[in-house]
Amino acid sequence: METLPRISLGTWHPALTLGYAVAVVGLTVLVISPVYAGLSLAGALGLCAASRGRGAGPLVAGALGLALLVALANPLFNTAGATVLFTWLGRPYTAEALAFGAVMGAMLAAALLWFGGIGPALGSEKVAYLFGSTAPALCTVLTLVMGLVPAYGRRAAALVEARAGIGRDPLAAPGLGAKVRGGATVLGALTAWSLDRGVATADAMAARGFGTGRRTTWGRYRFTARDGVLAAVLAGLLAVTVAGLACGAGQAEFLPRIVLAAPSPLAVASWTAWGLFVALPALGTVGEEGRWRCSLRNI
Amino acid sequence: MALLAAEHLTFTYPAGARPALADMTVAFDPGSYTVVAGRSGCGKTTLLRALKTALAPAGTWSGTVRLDGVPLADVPLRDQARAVGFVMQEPDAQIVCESVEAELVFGLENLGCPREVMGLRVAEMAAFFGLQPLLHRRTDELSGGQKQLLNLAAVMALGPQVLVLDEPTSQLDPVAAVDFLAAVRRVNRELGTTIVMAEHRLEEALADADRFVVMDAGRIIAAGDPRTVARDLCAAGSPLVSALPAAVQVYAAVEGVGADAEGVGADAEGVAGSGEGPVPLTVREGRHWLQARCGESPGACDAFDADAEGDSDSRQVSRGSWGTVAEGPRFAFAPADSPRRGNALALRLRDLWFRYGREGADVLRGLSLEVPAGRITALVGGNGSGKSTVLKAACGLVRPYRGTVETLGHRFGPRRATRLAGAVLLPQDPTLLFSRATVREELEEMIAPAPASPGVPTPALTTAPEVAPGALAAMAECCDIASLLDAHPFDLSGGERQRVALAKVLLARPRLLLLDEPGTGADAAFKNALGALLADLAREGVTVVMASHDLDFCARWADEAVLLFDGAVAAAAPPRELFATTGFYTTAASRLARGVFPGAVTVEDVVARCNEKGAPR
Repeated sequence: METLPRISLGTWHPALTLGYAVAVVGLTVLVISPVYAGLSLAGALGLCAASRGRGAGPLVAGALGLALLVALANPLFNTAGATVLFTWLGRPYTAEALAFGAVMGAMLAAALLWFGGIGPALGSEKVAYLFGSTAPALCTVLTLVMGLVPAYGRRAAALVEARAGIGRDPLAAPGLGAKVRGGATVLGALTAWSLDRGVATADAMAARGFGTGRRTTWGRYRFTARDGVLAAVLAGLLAVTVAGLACGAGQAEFLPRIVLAAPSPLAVASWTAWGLFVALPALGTVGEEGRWRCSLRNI
Repeated sequence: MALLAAEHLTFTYPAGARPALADMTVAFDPGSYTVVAGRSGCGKTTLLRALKTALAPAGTWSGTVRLDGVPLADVPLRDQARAVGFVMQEPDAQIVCESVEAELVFGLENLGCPREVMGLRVAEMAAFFGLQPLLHRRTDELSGGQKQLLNLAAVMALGPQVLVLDEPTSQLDPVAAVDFLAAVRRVNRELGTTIVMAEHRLEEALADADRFVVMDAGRIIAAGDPRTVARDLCAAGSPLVSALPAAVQVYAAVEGVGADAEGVGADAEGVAGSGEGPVPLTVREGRHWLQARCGESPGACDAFDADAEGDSDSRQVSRGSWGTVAEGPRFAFAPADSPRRGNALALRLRDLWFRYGREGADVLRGLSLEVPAGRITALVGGNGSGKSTVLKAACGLVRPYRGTVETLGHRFGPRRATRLAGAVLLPQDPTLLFSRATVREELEEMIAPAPASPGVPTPALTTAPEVAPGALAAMAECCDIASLLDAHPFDLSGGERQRVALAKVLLARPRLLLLDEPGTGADAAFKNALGALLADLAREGVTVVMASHDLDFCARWADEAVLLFDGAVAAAAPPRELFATTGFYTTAASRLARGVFPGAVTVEDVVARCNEKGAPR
């Protein structure tokens, strides 16, 4: 029922949410450094946990499992590195390769979790709002097609059931050939139905003036002062982060030995800024949750 | 001057032999409410679509349609989108957007409306149609009635002068349909929007209209005041009479509207209550007329005060029928556990519990039901009472998590049944059964690999596969689709689709025929034919179980009516007894005659009882 997930990102202006998503995912996958990857993963985990609670369990478990797999598997393919932990099948398994794999895995998991965390806050309506003025017709058609995918699934299930009801169950047909023919029948019926429905939908769109000239896009989103402050803060943090990266704060060598960037003041500032940048959505969500509790107690 | 007018409009489909519209001249005045009726395929949809260039079908057109005096061809599509709103049959297919709010503004976006105006319109529409609680819902979560109301609101957001509706309630259940028609009436009464609506559901719609247009074979055969046209139709003995409100039908039959139709309505002496208006359209008007005519005081007709007045015979019946609720075994809140009339059972359901999905609510809650073989049983009840689920359980499409299902002597095991020859289900949406390019292929599909079902009687309607070509032709004849055999199933009208699906299902040689809302969106003529066909099947030994919202249909044709409520059987009795007992959930004729003629359930009953009493002198 509830469409807005409990997430502070969802209350930001769509442009800000989209900009944040691009920046955080972009830097996460571009900078190969244990510091940045670790902070990004922590921030993404925090966001998922704060916004979805237990519901985030499967996503988090999947992402972390994938990270672990990448970390453990990397030394099997990459045998360079000074510290040999053990030898397996005549190939050395090195600590450096393991560390590199861990960083890659963390980057991958962080990116996945960012998508999972921000996605619900950036629904198709907000995307349509953002791009509606540049490509209005394309946007409408895309929304329409996206809506068709679940509709097809439901219709296919109903078709199978209806055919089973007249003794022509495509799933229970004897033999592979009959099953394939039954499936083809359902597919054909689905196609005929979608064409029929497509004509009706096109009529309904034409009846309401679709394609008769310039189109505008609805959206009750305003760029508020709060959005402005937020944008300034985010831009500042991002600038410090990028400045640090430009001066080598993101340097990290793994092979043959692990060498990280020296903790110069600029590097530390960059790490701090990045840490704050990725923590903001989670903090915001927790903050809103706290404010809710407070206001509920005051009732 | 007329707001919208068609002048000498003629239209022929590209492959059509005769014109779908023939020299049609009709005008719609500002603020009027016109109901267009006619048998399916009479050209209603073609006429309505001609009123909007973007929807007009391709073919040969002649004549003109004028909007505010300007030929429609000269009105830009953008202006037409704003001026003429159009709502179609299918609630689903008309929805474009993902959320209710986005759907409401879709038209405004297309017309390049500024954002501030859109916000105001959304607020207005949500308030007027009561859509505010749904505003942020996903459109695919809505019920059919909510979807159609949204379609209406989305069209009204553009502020049209004329609202055209093509059988908007044909896919809705009665409650949703009445809600929808109420919304249309508000649009007409409160906003002054001109309404042009094609509709089968005349019982509710006709009383709201101020103009009634009847079409046949592409021509207008009658047009004018609804009361006058309804009386003329009765006088002419038109096949549309059975679609008219029950009050009109009773009035026409009793007052003998015939050759001297003019004399009956207003001037006939002795017709008490003629001051009410010549022809009653609603149940309320019909009751006034009936009470006046049969010389009873209106006070006697309190909803349940059935035995306050009337002759001794009626008093007995009424007291008896209400008394049984408390004491009689027939209305016990459990199924009758002895099979009646010595018939074998076709279906035995015992203590069924079922839910769709783990977290869902129980749809069936300890339902028990026994259906005797060779009879027509109607499952009635509101939405969500479990009617469709019972049908699916009966043919093994759903597996109750508790209880037993025994169909035609076969007991379903815990796993999904692979196939049970002899029990077939006709779904509510007939197009679910269509998968071929022509009607003929659809029917042949059912004949080709007919599964052997030993012990099945093979009477005329359930013919053996050896005589396939003959069976196909006989079935096509029987369901009146012989002329449609080479058409694409999706090109057919709603009623024709129903007939084809029915023929297809019957070719499976069912011993247990399960029908989910048969006749939804079909015209009265088809319903009569369907009822007669079901009666024939029952006579040949086929058991028919149908879920239906159409109480008049059930009262006329069913042998047994089962009222489902909250996933269990609330009452089971022959429909006459059941509908004579219920006060709200009953046929229009029963509501009309309640307290005057207790026990009268169909129009024929009321007419017969009226005539028994004799004409007033």
